Amino acid sequence: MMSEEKNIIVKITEPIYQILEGKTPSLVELSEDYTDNEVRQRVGYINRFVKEYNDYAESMHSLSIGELGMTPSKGKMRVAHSFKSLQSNLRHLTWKTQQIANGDFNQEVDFMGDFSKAFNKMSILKLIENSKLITPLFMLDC
Amino acid sequence: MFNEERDECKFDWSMLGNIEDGRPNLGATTSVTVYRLMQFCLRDVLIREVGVAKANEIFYDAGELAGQAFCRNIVTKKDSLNDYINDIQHLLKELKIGILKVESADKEKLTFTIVVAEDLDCSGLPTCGEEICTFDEGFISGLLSAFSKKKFITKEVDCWGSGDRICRFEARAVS
Repeated sequence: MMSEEKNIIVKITEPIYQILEGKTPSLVELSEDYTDNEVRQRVGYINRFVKEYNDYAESMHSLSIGELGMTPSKGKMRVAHSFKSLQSNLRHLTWKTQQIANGDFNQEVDFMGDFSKAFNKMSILKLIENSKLITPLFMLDC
Repeated sequence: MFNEERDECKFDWSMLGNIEDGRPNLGATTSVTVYRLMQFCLRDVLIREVGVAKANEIFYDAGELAGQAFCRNIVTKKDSLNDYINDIQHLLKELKIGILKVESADKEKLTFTIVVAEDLDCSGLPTCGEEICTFDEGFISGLLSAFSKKKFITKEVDCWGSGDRICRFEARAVS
C-alpha cells in the first residue's frame, strides 16, 4: 500500500480510536491542496461526526451534572434526538417538582415509564400527607 | 353558517354538531392519517393560492381561534394557571392531540416553554428541515390568551419536521 494511503487510513482511524478509548477526538486534517476526491469527502463526513459527537458529549456531561439549560446544536443523529427528548423530560419533571414544592400536589407525569410511576406515587402520597395535616387543624378550629 | 362571506370569524362550538347522533356506528374518532390528509392538502392548495407567508398566517389564526374555543367549551378547570395547565394536559392526552409538557412557566412575565410530544401534526414525518406546526402555534396562543385575557405570540422552535423528536414552543404575552 502506498505510504500516502496508509497515512490517510491512520488519520481517519484516529478519531474512532480516540472515541473508543474515552478521549476527545480531534478533527482529521488534510492539506489544503489535497485532491477533491472521495477521500476528502469521507474526511468531511468524519469531521462532521467528530464535531457532533464532541458537542453531544459536552451536552450529556452537562445533563449528567444536572444542568438542563444548554442547547446543543441541531443534528440528525438518533442520539441527538434522544438527548433532546431526555432533556425536555427532565425540564418537565423539574417544573412539576417545583409546582409540588410550591404546594400544588395535584401533579401527574405521563408516558415516562418508571419516572411516571414513582413521581405519581409521590404526588399522591404528598396529597394524602397534606390532607392529614389539614384535617387536625380543621378539628381545632371547631 | 359555513358558506357566508364574513369580515369576522363566525365559528361557534355548536357548529361541530352532535357527532353521536350523526355517527352511531362509526363513532367520534378517526385516524391521524385522515387528519393529516386534510390539513396537508389544505396547506398545499393554500400555499399555491396565497403563498407560504399568508398560508402560515391563516393556519396560525385558525389555530388561535380553535384554542380559544377549546378553552371556552372543553377546559373546565380555570381557577388557577396550574389547574388550567393540568386540565389541558389531560384533555390533549385523552383527545390524542399530543402529550403536553411544560418546561418553564413564568407567571409574572407570562412566558412559557411548552413541549408537545407525539404531536398530531408532525410526529413521524420525514425530516424536512422546517418547523411546520403553525396551527399548533396558534392553538397554544389561543389557549393562553383565553385564560389570561392577554394576547400571546407563540413560535415553534423545535419540531419533528426540523429533525427533533419533540415540538417545543416559546409563548409570550404581548399585551
